[in-house]
Amino acid sequence: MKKSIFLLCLIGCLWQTATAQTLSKTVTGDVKVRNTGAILQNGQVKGYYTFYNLEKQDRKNNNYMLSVTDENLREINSVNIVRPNSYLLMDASFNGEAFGFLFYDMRERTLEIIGYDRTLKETNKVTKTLKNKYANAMYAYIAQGHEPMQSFLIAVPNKGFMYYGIKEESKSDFEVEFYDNTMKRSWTSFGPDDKFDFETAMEAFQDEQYVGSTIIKRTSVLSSDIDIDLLVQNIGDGKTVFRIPMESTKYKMMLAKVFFDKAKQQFTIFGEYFDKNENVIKNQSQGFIAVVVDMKGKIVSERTNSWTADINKLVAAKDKETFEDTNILFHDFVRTSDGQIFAIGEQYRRGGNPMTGMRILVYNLVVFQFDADFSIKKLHVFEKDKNAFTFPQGFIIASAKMLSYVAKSMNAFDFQFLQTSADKNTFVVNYINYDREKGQKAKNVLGSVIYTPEKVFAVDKLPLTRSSTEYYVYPAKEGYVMVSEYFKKEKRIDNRLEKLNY
Amino acid sequence: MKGFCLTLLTCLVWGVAVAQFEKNYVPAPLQDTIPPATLATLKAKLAADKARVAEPSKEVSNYIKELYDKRANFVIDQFNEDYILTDETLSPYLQSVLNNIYAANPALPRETKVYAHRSEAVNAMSYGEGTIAFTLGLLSRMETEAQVAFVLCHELAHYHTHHSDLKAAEVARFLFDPETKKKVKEIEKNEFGQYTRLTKLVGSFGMSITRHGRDKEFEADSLALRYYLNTTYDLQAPVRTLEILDSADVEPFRTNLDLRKHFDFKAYPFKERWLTYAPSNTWHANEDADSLHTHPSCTRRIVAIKRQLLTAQGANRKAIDYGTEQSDAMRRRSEFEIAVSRYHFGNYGRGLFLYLALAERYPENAYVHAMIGQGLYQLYWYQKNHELGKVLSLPDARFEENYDRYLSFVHTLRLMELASLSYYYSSTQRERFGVQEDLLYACWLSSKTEVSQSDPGKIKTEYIANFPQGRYLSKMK
Repeated sequence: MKKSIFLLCLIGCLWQTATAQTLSKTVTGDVKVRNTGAILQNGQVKGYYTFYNLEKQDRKNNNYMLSVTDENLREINSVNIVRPNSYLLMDASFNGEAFGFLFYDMRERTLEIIGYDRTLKETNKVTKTLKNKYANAMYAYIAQGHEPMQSFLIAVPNKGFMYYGIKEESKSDFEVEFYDNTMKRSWTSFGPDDKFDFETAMEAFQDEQYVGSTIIKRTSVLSSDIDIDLLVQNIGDGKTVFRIPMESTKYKMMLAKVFFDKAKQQFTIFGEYFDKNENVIKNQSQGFIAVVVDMKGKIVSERTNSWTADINKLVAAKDKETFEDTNILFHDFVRTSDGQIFAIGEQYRRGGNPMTGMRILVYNLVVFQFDADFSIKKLHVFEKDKNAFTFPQGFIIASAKMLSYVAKSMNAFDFQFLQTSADKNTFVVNYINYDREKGQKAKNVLGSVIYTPEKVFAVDKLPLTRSSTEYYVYPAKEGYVMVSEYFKKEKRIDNRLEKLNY
Repeated sequence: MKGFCLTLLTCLVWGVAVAQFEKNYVPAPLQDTIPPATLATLKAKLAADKARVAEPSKEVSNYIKELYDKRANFVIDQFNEDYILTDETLSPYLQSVLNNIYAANPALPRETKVYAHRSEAVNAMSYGEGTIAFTLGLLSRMETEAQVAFVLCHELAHYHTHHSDLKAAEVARFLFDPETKKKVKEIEKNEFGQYTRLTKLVGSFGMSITRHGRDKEFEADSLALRYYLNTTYDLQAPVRTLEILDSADVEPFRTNLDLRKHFDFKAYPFKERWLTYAPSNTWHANEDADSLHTHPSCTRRIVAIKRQLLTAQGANRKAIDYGTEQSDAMRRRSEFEIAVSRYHFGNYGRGLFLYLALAERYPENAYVHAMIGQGLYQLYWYQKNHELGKVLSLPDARFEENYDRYLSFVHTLRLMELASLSYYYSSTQRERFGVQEDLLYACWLSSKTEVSQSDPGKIKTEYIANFPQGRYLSKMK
């Protein structure tokens, strides 16, 4: 989820016009757009929010306006709220019945979750004081403009919202809360009081009955030795169904995604694997592994695809050199309705040096296709121009793998987001690349790699170099992307949906 | 005998005109730039209007004159941007009705001209400097000439009571009112709550303008009825006109389009998936609060008109038949011109919908089918260039269901499906209708798509051979 912060200092009011698929807003006066983003429900875009700072209410507070549109950019409603002038909207969700918005007050170090019904009528609000310095640091980092590494408020279809945070009375143990549609807390669970003082929980999946969370645990904040667990809880009372380490009998797993098979009542954990004595953050993986567990957390089956024995032999002759010269950072995994799994990554290489500045060079987009029985089937390479990102001087990280994680948090990769269709038959991988085609002026393009209903890949390229001062690309409803452009001279923001061609 | 012959002749002429819609249609020419004589009249009127301004405050006077300049420029732009129809049918028809009203009201100075306006909105506007615009959307809803006459009487009432001028003066006086200035200064002085207080100030003035505007609508209706009663048009029309205006939000064509019938080809069968329709159930705030309407509710206006009619002299007069066939022809022509205008202004999505609706009513009209072929190609072209949003709306459950379904259908189409529909539709219609200029151009367009099996060069040659002075020659280069 990409959040952008436009800070516009202009004069007057706010005008809004809508033509065809474009929502145009002229922002004048001291009105500022603080954040805007997509509202998701079950991975599908259901609308967009924009958080405006309308004016100073008094010395400490501002008068804000929260405006919400549907997925077609038509305004649903807007509400005015008076809050401290250090307020930021961090996350937004819609679960089919209710909206949830998470705000962060930078100065007061507080969080506020406000619930609204479908008409944007406030239902309830919850305030949390971020006494825990790590909890505050996480939000402060995002407030500085960095990419959030996780979502905090997750919509559980029609039931409520999951909130992922950090427990107050701990060094940095996770806190998972479930709120109903009226934003009343139903249950809370915390990381256990054990040697792992740093446990972070992130959403893994949501279902009508269960919610799954990935728990990343380590003993100290600077430790690069991490372990990962899968926690599955009942949605009704938060009772733990099971908590298991994400590992097989022989291997540890990293960057894994959890897929719940409701019919079989089984979970598939899919990701990269490592020898148990290896460091999952620093070392390159051995390959891919799929581990199937039952409702008790017991391993039913496991299947590995190693780089050396299974994957490398599928690399086409023309791609061999690039594969040998680069590593791959996998951004996401998707499982289609026919059971196939696709791993989406980008090739990268470490460059530069600590004296002149370390660099990361980003190359092609790669998609690894796995059969429903988890065996590797095909490697797809989508060529794009090399993109170089230079880290601040003095930045020293020895491990290329670790460097790639840091680079990702700094938006250094071209990958933007993955969108899966509601029926899970198709998906689209979106990236932004600086395209230098021969004989043409270089331009930014939004590249969309589309897995079509015919089960083949198609590529669509949308030029982004227009007359706007800045542009942002957001997820949109199936088959579209949302492009937001800011025209500084005209003091105008144009949001429009672009249909993908395939 | 003479009267009988004239009536017979009129019937024959309009009979031919109506038959024309069944087989073909020739669109009205587009007004490229304002005719010099009209421009001269507008400028002379502007000078006279400005000379009449006599406000005690110089800055108010200057501002009013500035508004008059803007108003005149707006009208000139309406001509130059092709919104005003200076054809030989619709605008002259409206002008003839206006002339009838003036003839029946000799005390009124003949200072206005009426034109058909290329808009689908159901509306008529008196710009205030003498130009009256009667939208195609409204004309397509008019059942009789008498209804057209009542609308024109209403707009004449606005003009002759200087409602537009009074509004300009009201805005100018508000802006330069010492009290307003004081309030603005107070807002500027205190940095807190500026947006809210400024919005409130502007909002209260806006509400006042709206309230006055609504009062002026009642006044215009009342005066319009007086003008109208001097004519010989029937007495049912005023109330019926307001009833029509009251139902302006209801689409005249509400049947779902038979998309399968239109787009099922032997070589390219219709796909069931295209009909998938899941209307959004998203709630939206009521954007339609009555207090924001510039016009009061038609129900209240009908009550007021009925009250006035009770005391009207000549209330028992016999209605005169002013040629419903002519009104019918005007209505049909307006429907065609709305679709023509939608394409002309680049709204291919809505235009295609209107042409499909026309095709259901006039299945033998070659022009309509040609325009469907052209529209499909345009949608393909815009989608290919990632600009579809400029010419096609997104589905919205608040639209009429048939339009929402149609939008869902077009949005479901993938690029090559659009190209295929464009190609197979035009080719099929060409087989059906043979050589027809608009159709040949549609075929040439679709022959340029990736799915085409036709040679664009050959089609172009055929077009030139058949239409050496053709309307599309310049576009085929």
